[in-house]
Amino acid sequence: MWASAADGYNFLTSQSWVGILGLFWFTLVFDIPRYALAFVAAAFFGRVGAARTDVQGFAGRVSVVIAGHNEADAIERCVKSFQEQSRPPDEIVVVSDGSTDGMENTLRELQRRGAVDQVHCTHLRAGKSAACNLGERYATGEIIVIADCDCTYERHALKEILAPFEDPAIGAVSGNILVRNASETLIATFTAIEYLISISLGKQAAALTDHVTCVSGAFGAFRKTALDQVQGNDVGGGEDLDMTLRLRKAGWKIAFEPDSICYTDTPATFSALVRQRFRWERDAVRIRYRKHADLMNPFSANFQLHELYHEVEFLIFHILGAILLPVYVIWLFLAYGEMAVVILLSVQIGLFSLDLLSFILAAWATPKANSLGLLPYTFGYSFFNGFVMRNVRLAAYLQEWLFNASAEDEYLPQKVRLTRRW
Amino acid sequence: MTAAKRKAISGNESTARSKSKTKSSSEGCAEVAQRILVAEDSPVTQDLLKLVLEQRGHQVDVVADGEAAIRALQGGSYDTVLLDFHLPKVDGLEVATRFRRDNAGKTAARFVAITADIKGLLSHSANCENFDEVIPKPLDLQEVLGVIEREQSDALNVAKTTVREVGAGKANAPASALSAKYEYLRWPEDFNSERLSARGMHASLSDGSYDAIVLNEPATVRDLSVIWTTKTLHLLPIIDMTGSLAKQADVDGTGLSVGETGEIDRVIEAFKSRRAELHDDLVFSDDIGEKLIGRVFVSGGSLTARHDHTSRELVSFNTVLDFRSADKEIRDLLTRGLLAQDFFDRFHVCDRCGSSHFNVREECADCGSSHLEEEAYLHHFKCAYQGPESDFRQGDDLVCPKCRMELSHFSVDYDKPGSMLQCGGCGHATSEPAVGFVCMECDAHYDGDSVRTRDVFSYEMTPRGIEFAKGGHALQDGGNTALRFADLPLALIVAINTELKKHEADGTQFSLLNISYRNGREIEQAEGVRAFEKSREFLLEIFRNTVRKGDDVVKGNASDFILLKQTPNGEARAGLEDLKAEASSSLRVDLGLEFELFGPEDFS
Repeated sequence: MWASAADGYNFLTSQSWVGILGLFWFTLVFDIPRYALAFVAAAFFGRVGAARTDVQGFAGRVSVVIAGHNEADAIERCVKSFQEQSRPPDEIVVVSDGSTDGMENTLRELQRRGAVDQVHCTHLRAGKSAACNLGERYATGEIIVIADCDCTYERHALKEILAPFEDPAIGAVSGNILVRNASETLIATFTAIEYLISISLGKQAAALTDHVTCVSGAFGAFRKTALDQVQGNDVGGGEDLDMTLRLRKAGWKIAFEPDSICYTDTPATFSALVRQRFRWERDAVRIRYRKHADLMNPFSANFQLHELYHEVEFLIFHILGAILLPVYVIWLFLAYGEMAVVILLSVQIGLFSLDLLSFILAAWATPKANSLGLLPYTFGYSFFNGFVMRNVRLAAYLQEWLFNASAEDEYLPQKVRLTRRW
Repeated sequence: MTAAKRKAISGNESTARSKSKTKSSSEGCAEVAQRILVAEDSPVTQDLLKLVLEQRGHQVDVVADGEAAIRALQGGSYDTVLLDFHLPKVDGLEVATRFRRDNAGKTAARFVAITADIKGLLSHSANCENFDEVIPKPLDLQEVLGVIEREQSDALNVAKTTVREVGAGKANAPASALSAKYEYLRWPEDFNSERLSARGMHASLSDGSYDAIVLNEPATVRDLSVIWTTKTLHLLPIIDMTGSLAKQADVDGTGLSVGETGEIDRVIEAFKSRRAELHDDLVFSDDIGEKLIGRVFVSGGSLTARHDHTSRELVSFNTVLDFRSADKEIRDLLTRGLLAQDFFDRFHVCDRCGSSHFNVREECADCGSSHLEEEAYLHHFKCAYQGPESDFRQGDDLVCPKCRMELSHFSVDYDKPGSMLQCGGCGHATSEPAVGFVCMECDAHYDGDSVRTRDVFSYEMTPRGIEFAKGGHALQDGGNTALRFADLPLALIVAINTELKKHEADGTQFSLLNISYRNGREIEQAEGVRAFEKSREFLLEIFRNTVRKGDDVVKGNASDFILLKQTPNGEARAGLEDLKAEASSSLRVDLGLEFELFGPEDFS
């Protein structure tokens, strides 16, 4: 084994620069650039991770809208985390979307205690979009914060997420999402690392170039005038991505607030994670390339280079990257035989170095997350994300592209799915 | 002496009145000295009255016949005149009648008839009204003092100026369903503004002359309150021919036709025979509680609560006593073990005014307004707009306010996933209204979960209560500590019997500990029956864990028991402190524990 490892080493070190390029083209094209933006942002702008120290409390009226289906057990903790805010909301509106688990009674009790201000309970599930729309219809704040029942919010989350609204061009601000159950299973640990790199660091980097394209459904703040302009949520799923793209089309700037932290539970098992990601990726494809295909059409009124950039970026790095990975691996084996293993191993070592660097950068950029405990898991994450989850995404993309699978998504009530145009 | 003068002497009339009440039964002087004329032909009675009245500080003139009485009355001003009905020369009635006629509107004197011939007096139906009071012979001196020294002002004000036109003949005319064989006291003829006519006074002597009180005109419980302040009238059945007391009278005569006397007769007979069983202590008691137990006894042994919209507590008992007065007395009777309670209903009570008349309504949780309108939520599937139906309404059409599409097909275009309530007061919207209580008497407002409740019970006389009714105070006082088998739970009776046999066989000792709860009623009132029962169960559980194996901890009715086998009383008494300590350290509330110890000799 040592002999073959030595052979592999000799093989790699004997390559010319052009040879290296020929061997590692996939990584060089589809992986390295993914990281580059964050690194460049960190290096050149130096603003990533620089926490604001002088946040003034937002003076306007702020409503929190929480919509949930069968969240009787979770809602109270969520509401309490808003009551505990250093800048408490002026109003909490909760919508029970056709719950059958007694959520209505819990809400009534909360309302009686004065913990929530408005309660709307329907008996038939309408889906997250319509439920949020109902809450937004009655919310009276000039800023509307959308929150999720199964999330909890760090003490200063609200104060921080409101701060960017001082800029009148900002239409929405995305909060930072961290994983609450990181230690539950290895899958949850990997997801925690993924969130830290892709959201905490990724969105910070994206925000530097004004490319935040999704205000998380779990925690986002919206200017009421912006919401009214785009007329609230459209039929789901993936309504958070859709809403953000529509706000961008309407000319609003989207910010990301790394210090405004929301904790959420992620799927703890591989199968649950796969189901969740299938849904997300299918929705992403449907919304980006079916519903908002005009962003890529030079003849459309909505066409802007700025928007084209993130559409193409997603297409290349997420979709094409996922499609070409199997091609690359097969090509390696066909062209180099046993040596392919060595090459892939060295690819993985390279990727790990990049992931490690990203993680450290993300941890540094998100000091509140206190995430150094996750460091030892970075190697496993690197393999899991680079090879396993990329194939999961591929399957989801194919399913959506070939079979329009999101139309069957149980996450939406059937009555709504039937009316959806995309 | 005028009323004004008397007031000046006593300083404060009401104080004087209450003091004289208490003093009249004890040694000492009357608070207010009166000038009294005694017209009585019997020298023995003359001397007796003079002695007693002068001892009390009154100034007494004595005359022996009617003419002398008239002369004396003309010569001096008297506060009270005690007149024998059968006086020589001019009889007492004539004296009073003449004097009243000649001095109409002027005099302040009070006329009290003394006679053994009450019927004879009453046969002069019109004139006998000139007497303010009647005292039967043979004289009860306490009663004479009571009559002379109590509440003069009412009598003074009413009696002197008006001559009431009351006809005995009218009173005796049988109404439709009333049997002629009974004597009836009639409302309103025999009652007048809290005072009784001579017939009424006569009835209060309990000599068996009257059998029932008949209402010929509508009356309220308050109107009839006089029956609780005089002796014995509360023991007569009340026959309501007007329906005004329906639930609180003993017989509702409104539905009875002429000659249909059976039902009324039955009730009268039942009262009569029970009255005969009632001990004199209760017949003549001044204590409202004892009067009540007497009344419950003669009316059949139970005090039944009933819904009654005319009462501010919304409930009344089957007796002409308002709920509040009755409730106060009942508490005492319960602690004395004379009544046992049975849950009737739970009422909401206004903390401010005590009324149970509430408007219970759905209201806005925010502003308390009951101006709530229900409106459906409407969900347009296609664009995910969800809001109140009014957002969509355009005449007959439903048009989505977001995408302007007309919704034409329920369940395809849209559905209505629920409804909400919109407050017309503050605009607040909610899917669940709050429940609020508004007091109809004082307008106080309460949230549904903060309004106080009152548990109302019906009551039955306990064996002990019946014993008291029949045996009077002597039995009750002596019986306080004596345990009776009938009061004990069956399981305990069996166990004690076994122990008694052992005791008889070889002298083995045992102790029975009776645990009673002084604060039980209070806790029930404040925290509810269940709270008290729970504490009690908890306590017994503690005791079960504390006593030795083989000893019995038994739950009783009003009190509980621990049977300590093979334990002499002395030893039990020593262990009592441990039990008390154990109980007080484990219980959150103070039950007011009282322990009583019994040994084998208490059961012999």
